Amino acid sequence: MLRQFLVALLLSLTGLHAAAETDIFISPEKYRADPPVSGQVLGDNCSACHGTRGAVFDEIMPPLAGMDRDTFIKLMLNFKFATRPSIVMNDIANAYTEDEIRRMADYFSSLPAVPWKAQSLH
Amino acid sequence: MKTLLLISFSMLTTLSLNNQAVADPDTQPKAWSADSWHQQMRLMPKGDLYRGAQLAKQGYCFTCHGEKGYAPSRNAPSLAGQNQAYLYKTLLDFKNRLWLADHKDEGMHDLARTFDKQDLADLAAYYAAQKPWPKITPSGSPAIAHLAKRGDPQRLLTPCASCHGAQGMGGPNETPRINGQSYLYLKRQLSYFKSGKRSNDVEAGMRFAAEVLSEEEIDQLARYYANSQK
Amino acid sequence: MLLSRRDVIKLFSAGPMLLGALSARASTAPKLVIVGGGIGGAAMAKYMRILNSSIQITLVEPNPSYIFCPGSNEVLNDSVPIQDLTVTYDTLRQRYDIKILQDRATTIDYSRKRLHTAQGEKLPYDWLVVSTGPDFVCEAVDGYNPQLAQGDFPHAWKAGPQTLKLKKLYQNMPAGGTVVISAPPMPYRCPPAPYERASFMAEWLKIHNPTAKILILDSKSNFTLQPHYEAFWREHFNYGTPQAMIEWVGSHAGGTVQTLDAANRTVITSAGERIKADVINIIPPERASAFARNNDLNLGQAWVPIHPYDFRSQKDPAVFVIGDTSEASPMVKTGYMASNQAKWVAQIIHAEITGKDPGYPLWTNNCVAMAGEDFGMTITATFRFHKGRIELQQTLQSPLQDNPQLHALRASVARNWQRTFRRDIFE
Repeated sequence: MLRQFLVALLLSLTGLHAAAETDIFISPEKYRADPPVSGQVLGDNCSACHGTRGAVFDEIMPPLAGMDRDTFIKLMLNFKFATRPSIVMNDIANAYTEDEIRRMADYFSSLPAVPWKAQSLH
Repeated sequence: MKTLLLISFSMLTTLSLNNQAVADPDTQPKAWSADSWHQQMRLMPKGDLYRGAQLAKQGYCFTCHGEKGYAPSRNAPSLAGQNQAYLYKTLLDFKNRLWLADHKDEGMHDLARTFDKQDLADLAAYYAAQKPWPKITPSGSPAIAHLAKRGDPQRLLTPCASCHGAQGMGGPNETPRINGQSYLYLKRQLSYFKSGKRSNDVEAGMRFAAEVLSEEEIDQLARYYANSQK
Repeated sequence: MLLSRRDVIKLFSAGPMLLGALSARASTAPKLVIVGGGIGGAAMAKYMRILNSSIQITLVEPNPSYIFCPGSNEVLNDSVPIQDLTVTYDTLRQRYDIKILQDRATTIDYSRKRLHTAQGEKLPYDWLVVSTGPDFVCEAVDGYNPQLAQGDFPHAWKAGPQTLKLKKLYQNMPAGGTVVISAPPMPYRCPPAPYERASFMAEWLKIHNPTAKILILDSKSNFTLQPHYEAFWREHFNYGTPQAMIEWVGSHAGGTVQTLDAANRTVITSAGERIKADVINIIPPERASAFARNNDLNLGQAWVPIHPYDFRSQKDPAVFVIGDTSEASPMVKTGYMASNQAKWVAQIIHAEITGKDPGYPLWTNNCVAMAGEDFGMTITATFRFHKGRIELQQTLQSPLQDNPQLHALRASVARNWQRTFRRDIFE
């Protein structure tokens, strides 16, 4: 009881409420009737961290290129539904529909598991 | 929902206030000799696996290494049931920047330096006590199986099996299990030993071995011991 | 005007050419010209080439190299050498076969579809992508000007010599000296960055000049990740006490800097207060670039109005405007955002060439910020095009209070992002 109180006090002192107010969340289901976003367009949003075409193999964030399709879907759904806590992926996976996650999986699983800089372009 | 999570996080914080020792200045050598490592190993604190479980949760180790230390994808090694001394040494090496072959290791460094030696021993105890990840039967071409089991005397190449065991299940002291580990992980580490980018091995043992392997052999050996995870 | 879809398809009916065969690329191949070799322009060039092997791509940029702004606050506390943030255009030139023209773009001849440069080139284009970054309006603060910015009053809001100058100035302050940082009104590039800058300076000063002070005078009444920063400052820099190393004064409390008295190294705030400091770092307000304004791309507005689906300027459909200089709210002005806009515009141009429907866009701005080397924060945002406008679907911030491991991991993730981001744009 005392601890709960202390935690609440700590949170209010540090201004949690102000932070919570800035969070916005609209379910991706809202956009269902819009034309689809392709797997590649979705995937291009991942590259700033996971590398161009998801093909950076020597970083903290794992490569996505050539990732097994089912593994990709399973992990992303776990992130989306927060059954698997993560540093940042819960917040990211939240934004996509399950269809979009499958399209990303199709896209990344079709790419070679080779570092981007070692790939030939066309 | 988010608020609930926040509250549980800050409870963790309050529980862990006494684990925050970041600096642990230690006169650790730049490379391990058998002597210096064995001395360090004897000084390894007794690990508390229940505390280790708590710390693993706090550090989100499961993100890459899986819920109970069985890696969910090909990107990171499994830890469940791994050799305890190896786990401790690994964490210590990350903390002290002795293992810094690529940027993945910087993540481990950033995390390990938030822990003190007791924490590292507790984490090692926790993962060592978990149910080991599934065993596989190593398989590959006859030539690669021969290399793994018999080595290559002409190149002064010790067989993998002589330290890691006939099935790659691990050996004495800090020799880790490699059987059923991720292919990408095994391949990466062998390449880093070959190039010398990874240099935390005792008496440069792995570097001597990997140095004479071709890239093709490294690839084949990694496949030989790896699981089938893609 | 534009090549018709059928014309273009005819041009390439022989199939895509190999990259190496550029010299054989027909002079009739469609031409993309890009103004500005920053994050947006470079991403545009690279991602266009990945999609299309045949198009001619020319990037017009006056500088021979580029210095990333993300990570440049860490130059200030000695944890990142500026060389790590510096990239050349060699890879774009060699691997992606981008023609790099080291020159300054001046005028758009809209009717002939040519871009004129300072050195007298007249580059024909089928599509022009403008990614110049913003202009800094130094004069918005009385007594401040670009010459002072290049001298003893650097704003350092574009990484480069000013960053190094600022570092030298604040690291050489007398013991107990004061730094004033004037934070600009919205919108400006990288909203959390003034506070990240103050934090990194404080981290360094705490060790080397522990009685020094950093005073943030703000033209806003609140700022991004404010609770996170304030909590961190409280914990590490006595924030909110008389011994505070960092102080913050919002616009509501008269924090807006109105005048710089350079001779006396003094600023005057909207509360009429005269504040003398050892180092004055005024981060000026921003507006559309001079290039955009000189070519009336902004149609008389502060920023360039665009069509929200495809980032075509409202001025001319063959001219796209991306990055900080465009008016794309609710999107924020970040390099991350600019790169994702560029990737989408590449899809649009490629679709125009191939006749294939590109579908709908989605843009993320998944940002990382740091308050110290062991303390990172994330702020994710996802934008969609819906019913004719850009909509902010979600934005989530990392929790305020976590255990030390998670704060350290977020800093780790931030550094990962800085490295991979540079590689995504230039490798």
